[in-house]
Amino acid sequence: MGIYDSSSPAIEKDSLVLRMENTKQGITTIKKNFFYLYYQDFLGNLDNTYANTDILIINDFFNPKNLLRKLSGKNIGFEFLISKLRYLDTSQVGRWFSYMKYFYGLCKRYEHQLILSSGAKNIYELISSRMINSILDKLEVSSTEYWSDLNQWLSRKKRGMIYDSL
Amino acid sequence: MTLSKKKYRYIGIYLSGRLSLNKSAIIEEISGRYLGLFGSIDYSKANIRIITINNIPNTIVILKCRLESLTNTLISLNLIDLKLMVISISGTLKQLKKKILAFLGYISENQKDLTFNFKDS
Repeated sequence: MGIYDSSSPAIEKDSLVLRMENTKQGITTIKKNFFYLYYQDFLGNLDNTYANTDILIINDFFNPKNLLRKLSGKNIGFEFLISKLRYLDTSQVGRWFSYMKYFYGLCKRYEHQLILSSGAKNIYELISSRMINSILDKLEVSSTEYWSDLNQWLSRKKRGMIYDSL
Repeated sequence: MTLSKKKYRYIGIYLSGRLSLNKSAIIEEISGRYLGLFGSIDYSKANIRIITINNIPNTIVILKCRLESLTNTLISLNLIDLKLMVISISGTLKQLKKKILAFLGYISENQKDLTFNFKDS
């Protein structure tokens, strides 16, 4: 997710999903019919309805139960960036793993999708699927189930697909 | 009594230019993260070592660890604040060396097209 390279015509359009900040919906781009999703950073505001948002990026620990319950049925993807963990101390990383187990349980309960992404801002922060599977293993989440759920979630999002008309 | 042979995995890592000058810092960082996250008993079982082989440039480092500890080693590797990239993991040095050479070949052929820093859309 998040790959954006209009200079690569050979890339199969269905194999890429672009993400675009929700506040920039009106901006004209050169996406050339790539499928894309709207994301927004979660800033702790539980009153926001998060209309037209496919992905909420979670950067801080908070009590997620009320939010996930409130958004139940909206099929939101909650994205966590692995790159943030590089800068946390060990106890915070441990807390993150514990938090994620709880969060995953709530996602299952309220039918949302957990998304683990690299959050890479440079080539050295990119991570492989093997690494994501390792994290899932520590979260006691079956990697097969996770990837299958993620595929299904993307397919559901594609049904109401937004393609750029340019 | 059946004695089973201990299995190891070799991890090929590509380092940024500056980091390649100080390889001992890498093992210190990984060890520190591993110890903090998984504890000293698990760390001692992991048997993490740096392997030196011929004909491999300075920008590459090879780590060896026990197969059972591969997941923990990978997590420790990816959760440290150093500019490095895991290229490949293999059960034999011969296979790993092949993959490393293929990677280096790709890097040198596509040096101009590689983007090291990404922009938000």
